[in-house]
Amino acid sequence: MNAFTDILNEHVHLNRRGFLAFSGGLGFSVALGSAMLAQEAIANEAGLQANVWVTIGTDGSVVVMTPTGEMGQGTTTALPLILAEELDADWSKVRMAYAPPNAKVYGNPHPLLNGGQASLASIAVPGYFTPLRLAGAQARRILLDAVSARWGVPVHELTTDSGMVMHAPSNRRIGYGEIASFATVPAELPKITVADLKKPEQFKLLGRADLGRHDVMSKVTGQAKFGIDVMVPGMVYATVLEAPMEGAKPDQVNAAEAMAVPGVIQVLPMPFGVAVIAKSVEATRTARAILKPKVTWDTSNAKAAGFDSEKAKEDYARHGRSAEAKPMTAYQKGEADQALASAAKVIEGTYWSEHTYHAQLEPMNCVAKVAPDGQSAEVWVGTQAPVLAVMAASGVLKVTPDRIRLNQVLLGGGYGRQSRQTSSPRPWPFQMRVSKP
Amino acid sequence: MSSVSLTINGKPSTLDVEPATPLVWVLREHLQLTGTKFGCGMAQCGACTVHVNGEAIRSCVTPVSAVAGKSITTIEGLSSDGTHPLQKAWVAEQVPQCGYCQSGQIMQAATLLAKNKNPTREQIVQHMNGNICRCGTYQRIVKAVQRAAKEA
Repeated sequence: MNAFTDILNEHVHLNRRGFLAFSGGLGFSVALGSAMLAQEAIANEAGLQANVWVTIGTDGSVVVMTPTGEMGQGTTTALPLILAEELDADWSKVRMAYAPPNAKVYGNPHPLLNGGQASLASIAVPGYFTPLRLAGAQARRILLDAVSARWGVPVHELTTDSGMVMHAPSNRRIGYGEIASFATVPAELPKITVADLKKPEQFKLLGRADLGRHDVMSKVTGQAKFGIDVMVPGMVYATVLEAPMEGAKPDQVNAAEAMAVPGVIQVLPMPFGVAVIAKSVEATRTARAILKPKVTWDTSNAKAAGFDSEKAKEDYARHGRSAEAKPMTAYQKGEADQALASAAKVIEGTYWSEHTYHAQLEPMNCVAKVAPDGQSAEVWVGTQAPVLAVMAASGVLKVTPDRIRLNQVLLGGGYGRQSRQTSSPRPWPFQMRVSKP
Repeated sequence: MSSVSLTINGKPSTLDVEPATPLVWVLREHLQLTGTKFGCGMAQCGACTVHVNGEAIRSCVTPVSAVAGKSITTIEGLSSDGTHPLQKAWVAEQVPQCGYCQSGQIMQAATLLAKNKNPTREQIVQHMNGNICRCGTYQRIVKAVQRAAKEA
């Protein structure tokens, strides 16, 4: 049993199912996705939306849709840079916008995700590299065709550099922003193949160490906004006194002292713990500490209540050595079985790895603004798996996923933990902030 | 509720909060200075580091009553425009990854340079010892502190 494979396979599975659940309201969801702000900005600038990946504003700005979250891996810089390379954009005018959760459009084609939209396993750049290059080259081609038609010159006489189209024979040049003010997107987008792309020696942006990541400055001035920094007017705070083990549920809850903490609104037993809702975050934490010895737990359905980790380790080992054990393939290259069978010498070894906590520094958190009728919500969460996050939120409200508007925000570390918001028994563990209707 | 007077980033401020409220929540929620981060809540990670009268403290375990009348500096007050030598060095060395610990790292480092203009590598490592970076940017943190010391 390979835990890593297990996680990834579950993701692919859930992502596919997530998309199926999602597709009924797809149009609506796209319009309400986290890209809305960018789309609003684009609408104001009356820009040219060349394809699903890039919009060129009449002011020359280039907005690149970024399907991944940002947790320090740098993909919200790297992915726009890849597209900008083939577009021949002026890098100083390129901005990123989070793509909405929509795996059909923004999924990662890498075999490990197989079209799922998630930020994990270090596969954003390898997976999106070619699609983004093709999208950038396609947008460039639309700009070139528009200039060719307007100036009445053959497209092969036109060249580009840093956000400008040039026509050397007539010594004319025009910026991408100006082109965006008159260019239209053809009904059928230009066909671009890998053969049309730049050769690595032609790269102007890719591979340059001097460009730096776009988010660094905001992270040294304290201005960067993480999920835990989101504030919604009138919001209240919730935290959960977690059950001591998976599957345990609260039995007796004596909430009197916790309720007496100034600012506490409600103490709410849940299937997985006891939630404390209050007007301030400090009140939730004070009340939770007071509550801890005042709750007894029913562990009759908790597997861990009778768990023996030494025995479990022996069981693992026995399963691993069993002739019936079916290994799962995470990634395949070459013919390992064949090579091992014909090898002169085979070295065998047994390796153990401990269960370890991801230990991302930002506590799990989420802000939700639920509509007064409880039938829709806007959610702010830093997530590695936005499609799953939407499913989790829609599951809480028991509404279809199209009723959830997700806002992706910076993650204070991910390490896989922030891709598992639905795998935990509760959708939004540890800390939640809810806007009062 | 009772009222507490503090000076935050040079501005006197009077707040109605419970005296036992950890300073981190006063800064983040009451004053909306969210550059100071909440990490572990038990002074083990350093993400919440701010200055009280020039000394680096962990604001998650410091009750607001303990800093009444004192002068507090947060990452937002270290410089008005990100031009403190440490902030410039942090950008030059591209230190942050996820960035969540970096306000605390910079505030911790600032108290070293305030007392020691030319710290050795060992002194830097020793001084930064209590600030955890889960992304593992430690090598760049040391390089950035060295750069800031040189360029300040």
